Amino acid sequence: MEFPDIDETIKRIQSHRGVQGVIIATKDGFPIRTTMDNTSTVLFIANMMTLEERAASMVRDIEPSNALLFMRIRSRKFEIMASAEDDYIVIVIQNPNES
Amino acid sequence: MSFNKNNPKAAGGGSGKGVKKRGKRGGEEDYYGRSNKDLIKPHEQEKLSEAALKEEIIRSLTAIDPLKPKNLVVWDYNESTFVPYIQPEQTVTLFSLESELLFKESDEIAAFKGELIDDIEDPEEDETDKPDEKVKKQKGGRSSVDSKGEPESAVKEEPKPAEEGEGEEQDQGEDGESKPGDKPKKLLNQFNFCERASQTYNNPHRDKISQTQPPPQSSHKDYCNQWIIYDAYSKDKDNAPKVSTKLEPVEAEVPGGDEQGQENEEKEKEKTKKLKKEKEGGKLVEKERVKMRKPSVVEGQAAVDLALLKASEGLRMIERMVTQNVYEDVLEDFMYFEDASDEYRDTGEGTVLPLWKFAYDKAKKMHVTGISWSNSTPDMFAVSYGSFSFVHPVLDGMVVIYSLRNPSYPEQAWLAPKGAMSVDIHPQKNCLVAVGLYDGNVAILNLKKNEQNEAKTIILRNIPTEIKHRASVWSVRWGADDFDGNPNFYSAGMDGRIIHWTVGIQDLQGLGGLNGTEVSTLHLPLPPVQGPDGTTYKLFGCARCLAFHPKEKTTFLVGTAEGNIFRCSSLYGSRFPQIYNAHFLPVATVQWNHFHPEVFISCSEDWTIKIWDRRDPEPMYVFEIGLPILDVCWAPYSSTVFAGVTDEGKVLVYDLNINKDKPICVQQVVTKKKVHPHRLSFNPHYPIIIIGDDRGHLTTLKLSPNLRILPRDTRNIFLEGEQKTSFEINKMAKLLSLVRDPESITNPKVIPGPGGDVVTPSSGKPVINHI
Repeated sequence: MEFPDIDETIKRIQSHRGVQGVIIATKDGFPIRTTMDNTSTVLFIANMMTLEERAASMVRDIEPSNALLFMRIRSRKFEIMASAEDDYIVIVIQNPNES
Repeated sequence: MSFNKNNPKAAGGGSGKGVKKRGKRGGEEDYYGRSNKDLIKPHEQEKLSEAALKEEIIRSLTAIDPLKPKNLVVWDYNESTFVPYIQPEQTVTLFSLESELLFKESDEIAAFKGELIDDIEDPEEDETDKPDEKVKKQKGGRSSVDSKGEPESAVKEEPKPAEEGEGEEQDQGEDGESKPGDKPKKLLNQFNFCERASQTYNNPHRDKISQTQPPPQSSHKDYCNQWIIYDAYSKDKDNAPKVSTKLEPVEAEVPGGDEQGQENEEKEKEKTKKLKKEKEGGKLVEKERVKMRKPSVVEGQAAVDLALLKASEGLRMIERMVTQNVYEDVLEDFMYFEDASDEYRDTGEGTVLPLWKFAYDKAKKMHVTGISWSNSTPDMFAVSYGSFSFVHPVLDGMVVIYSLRNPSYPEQAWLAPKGAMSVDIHPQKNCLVAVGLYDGNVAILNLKKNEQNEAKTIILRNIPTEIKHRASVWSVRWGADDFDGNPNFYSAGMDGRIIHWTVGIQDLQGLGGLNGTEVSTLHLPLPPVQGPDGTTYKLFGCARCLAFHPKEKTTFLVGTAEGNIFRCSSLYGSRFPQIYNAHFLPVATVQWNHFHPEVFISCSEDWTIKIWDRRDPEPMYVFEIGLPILDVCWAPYSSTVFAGVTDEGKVLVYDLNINKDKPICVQQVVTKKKVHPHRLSFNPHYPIIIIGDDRGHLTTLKLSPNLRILPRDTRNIFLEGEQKTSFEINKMAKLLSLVRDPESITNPKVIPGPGGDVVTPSSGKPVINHI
């Protein structure tokens, strides 16, 4: 199946100021769309998936009818934004300070 | 150093330390051959006096075992206390052997009542014969010898050899005494006793082990959380509604104090039901629970596709987050920036701060023909793209939905076949968008996804053959919901008709679904004109803009291209309550005041903005700008503030309460002469205005505080609701009364414009000229 609108959206996001990479992966951690090199992709996916699982578990543990929507981690060099559901995980890495 | 035992002198000399003097054994030497003289006294040894040294200390040797504990106690179960345990003697048993031998003269024999075997019996002999006794004696003797040997070998200390002979004599004595014929009493004789033992062959032990195959093991690790339990219960609840009804009469005690807490009261009841079910269901339920946390078992390519499909929503949100980062400063301005210099301006002037610019590359060359904010979600707005130049070939148009949250790209876009001229979002249901098209058709877009459409927008279009505008639709406006709650809207077209549309049945090709009924035709109050073939022809005005009264649902205003404004009612179509001769050139916009029910504003290309009281055929206020005004809009937060946009690219904001003559803000917002702004709109919620130009761009501007002065009451709190409405109405009424009362004005106010124009009004109303 073709998903032209998704590819277009990825291109658009990538063109924004400071965006370093966009990654979409299945829930098993298999990357299906990425704009970064393979090593970084795998690294980001592995780390983000465990963190996201933990965060989602925490949110639901506090109140089971709640659910995690998005995560945002800001560090000195970049900001990672992640959205994950049952079937996928989307990760975007952006450097917000880039001019 | 060498030890030289024989010749101590030889080894002497310098190394005399190691050699010991061999003195005679005596008092000077101890057992090990060390002389007393060499003894070294430790420095902590007690130094005793001579008398104390000579004191004799007696040491005695007793048979009392010093190591034996003296105060033993033992627990007595009868009395439930500890009682002293006295041991009878101070002997140490070195050896004991169990046997059946008794010492003849001991007390035990006297106590022994049973038969004592005198002689050791030879099992082969007959017991009762007399001569046998002799034999026995001999044998007894023999056996005593035997027994002598045996017991002696066995026992070391107890039997004394001297008693052996005594035992024998006794035997004989006793034998003589006994009468023949009596059964002889046999005494047990420790010496005649003969033990016969034999040892069987001990089979050697051999270990034989066998080990079965261990049962297959697998380790299963898992964790349990509140949400895992919750998920399991929800799924169980969904899956098995029948079981729960069956088990309702069961009143099991709820295991109290779980981690579930109060929020799952019903869940606890169901838990008991489920406990029952689990016992029945057993493994099945457990298997389901494990499966719960593996939401999809889709593999391979299907998983990829599914992921992509679902990821589009998340991706959209992420894009917003990314743009939030990119436009961080603009966002902060939008939320928090208030121009502080406004306080220092005496004249109450304000400024507008440019925020975002919206553009869609596919709509680059089109004109912005209409802007509509959504009332319920104030960050969403719809823009219609089309063309205002009717001379040039008409391009395709679009209707694009933007959101303030994502300034870089629109949310949705819909291609309009021949240009869209106007757009309106339903005030309550913000998924419905009415569009008026260039070719006279109208359409409703449904922005929500539902099962019927994949492409996110359903459009209901009117069937061209039935009722339809014969020219382009300049304005569409939603009306109040009808009695069934169905949405309906009105459209005003260049053909001079106002048509009311309701949603009907949609036919298969996607056309239709809108049923229109004509409400009115704008016949001009001019005498009919002679047609070419002798028929009279009533002239009608080309409707340019439509405005519905905010409170009275049936009253509306239509501005025409001839410069008239018709006040109409949707109840009757042919006669109009009022026709205002408003302008000389086409009326671009007409709009009712949000608060005051009688006031409306109109602007036109004839360089004027006019404020009207509907009861009066003449305008209340006239503002001569000197430039064609393309759009004007009342502010939603005040009854006296309005903004207009000129052809030159300037935005003008007026507050009649502060300054009736001059605008409190004039600012160039688009590049002069190249770009013409066509549409202006206030956001219903935020203090921003948006301006659309003919390059397809939209500019958002934030109003500075002076432009949006909100009323405060005596306690300095902002007025809300009813109070605010009445305040605003009063404000406007005051302004109107100022204008209406001719006594307050001595002369008609005429302020000459820059070109020396002097316009004298025919009535007593002031005319204000502006640059």
